[in-house]
Amino acid sequence: MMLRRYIPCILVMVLVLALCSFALAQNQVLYWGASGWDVSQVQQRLASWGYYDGPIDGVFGNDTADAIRTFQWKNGLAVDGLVGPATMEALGLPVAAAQEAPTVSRGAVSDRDSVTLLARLIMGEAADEPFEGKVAVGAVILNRTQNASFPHTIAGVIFQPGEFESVENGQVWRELSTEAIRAAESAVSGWDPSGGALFFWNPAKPVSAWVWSRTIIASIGRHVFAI
Amino acid sequence: MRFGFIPLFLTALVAVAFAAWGYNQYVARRSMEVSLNNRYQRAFYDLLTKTQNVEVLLGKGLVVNGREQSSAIFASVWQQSMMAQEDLGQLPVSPQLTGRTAKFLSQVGDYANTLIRRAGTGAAVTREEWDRLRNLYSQATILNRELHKVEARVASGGANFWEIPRAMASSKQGAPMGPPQHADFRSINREMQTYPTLVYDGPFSDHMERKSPLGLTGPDISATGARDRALALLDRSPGTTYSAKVTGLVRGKIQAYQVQINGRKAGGDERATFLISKKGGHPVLLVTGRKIGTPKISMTEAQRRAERYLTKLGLGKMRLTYSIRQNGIATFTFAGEEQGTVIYPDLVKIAVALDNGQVTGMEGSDYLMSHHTRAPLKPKITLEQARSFLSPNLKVESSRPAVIPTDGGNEKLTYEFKSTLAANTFLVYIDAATGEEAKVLQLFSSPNGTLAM
Repeated sequence: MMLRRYIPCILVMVLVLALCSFALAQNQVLYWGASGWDVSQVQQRLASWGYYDGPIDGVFGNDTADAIRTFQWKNGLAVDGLVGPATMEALGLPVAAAQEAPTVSRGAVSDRDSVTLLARLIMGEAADEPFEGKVAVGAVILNRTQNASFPHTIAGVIFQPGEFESVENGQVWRELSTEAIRAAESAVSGWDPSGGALFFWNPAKPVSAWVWSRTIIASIGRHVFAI
Repeated sequence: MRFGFIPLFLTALVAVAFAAWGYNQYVARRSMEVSLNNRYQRAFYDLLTKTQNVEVLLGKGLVVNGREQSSAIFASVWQQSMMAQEDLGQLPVSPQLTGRTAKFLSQVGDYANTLIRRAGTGAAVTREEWDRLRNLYSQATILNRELHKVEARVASGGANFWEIPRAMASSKQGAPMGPPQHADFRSINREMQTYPTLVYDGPFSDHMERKSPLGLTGPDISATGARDRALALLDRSPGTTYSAKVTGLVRGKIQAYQVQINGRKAGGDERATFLISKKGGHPVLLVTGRKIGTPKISMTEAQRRAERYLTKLGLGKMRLTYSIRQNGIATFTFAGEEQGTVIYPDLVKIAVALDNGQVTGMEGSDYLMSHHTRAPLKPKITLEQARSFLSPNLKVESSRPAVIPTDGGNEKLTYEFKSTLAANTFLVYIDAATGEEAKVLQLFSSPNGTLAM
């Protein structure tokens, strides 16, 4: 059962692997049977220098191999009919840097996305609350991501269907205030005035009777906080 | 006759226009409903597939013996159960009804993850671990069976997921009657209650919820005592008069009095909440809400003030590990220091407003949760030996001994190597007892500060 489901995945992976190895091969040495853009470039160069008069079709055939041999012989290179780095350079084509130190990209990670998303929910749920009440609402979201019973990402918690009224009615998409952003930053930095709460609600508003079965551990502004 | 015809015609025209508009609205709403329902259905069927995989994989986990195979199987358990948990969180069923199931899926994944790490060290599966695995397997079987009951109802067209939020909205006022799946999920939740608590070395283990603070020392204090303590520890901005009152007790892991502080000043009132622990009167948390003006203070000056405030709190011997500057506030993270070793679990954060240098925030709950008298920190291997376990790709810039928190809520003595690969900086922690890599963090620097991930 499981295997059948994995067959498409495996096929795709095999295909990707095949393509990768092919691309790698192209970067290193071109030889008879190779094809692609690199081959076209070699053919182009050979044709413009008069070594090759076949079609520029990107397929490394006998004609191309012959032209390469002539080119190598005339330029004092090892005559092997293969396009390695030396031949590539002699043809004036860029050589792929192969055996250098591993390069790793610098990365583009930041915590802006989580801060902004958290600020949106704070804006939607606690725009009129005092600053510590805003931080506490943000902290509840983060506490949920750390709890086994809730989704483990900020987006997962915020967009859990039916959980937050402001998400359901679109209030969260209002313009953000600086205070909401600062509150979100504080919550992300670890400030939690709620004492580790997982729920909050406004007791003056109608809420599902179930939440009252939770243990209330703090009360900030108009909200109560519970675990 | 002629006068009667035109109004009649216009009325008909308006009626047709309204009908067309209404029909359009109906079609649009219908298509939204269908597409929303499809998303819910997808999440539900994905959940089914993955819980099924979890059951099968756990079954295999019971019989697998080779190191390579068990790593592969437990890695799949981890992945599949975490994905199932994610799907569950996308269903329009309240966490009241899915909470226990979600917790089960988190724990299965988390536990599988600890088994992968165990398998990596070459240790054999113990009898206790095997029994735990068998429990999880039978629980996964129950979950699967129950989910298939829901599936049977969904497949027979008996109900749409779309109806759940609607029914829940209407049941808020009156009787707690839900649609059929609602009842189904209630019964799943009931079945899942029967599964025992699971304690192992991972962040979602049950023992993590029961952790109690190690750093709370001293006798209980009164509410008045807490108020005086808060006023004494407050960093006052010049020209402001402060008053404080206790507004409640926060009953988290650290029980604390909630002291509300009002600062009066012409042109800018401030309001702060200071949490002072009931036991011992330790400062737990300070949050100040006030307008932050244009920055006038340098980061160096802000750091000096943060350090001075630490001394005021009685926490002189700490080391700055991290700082960040956001929206006119500089936040400094200090870690404990003992026997020449950085103690990362003992964290205290201080926030300084850059407009006048006032300390507007402090966070000491990590410190209070973990600070205790530690046994002498004796590494089993030397720094040079530890260095030999590092990846040869890394260039070491600095190194020092450090105690770090583990996923399971314990502590570990390690050597910290700050090292670079090309433009990237990493912190690699090598276990000072075994030479294993205990953790790898990457540092992302920005003009505002450094982010460790």
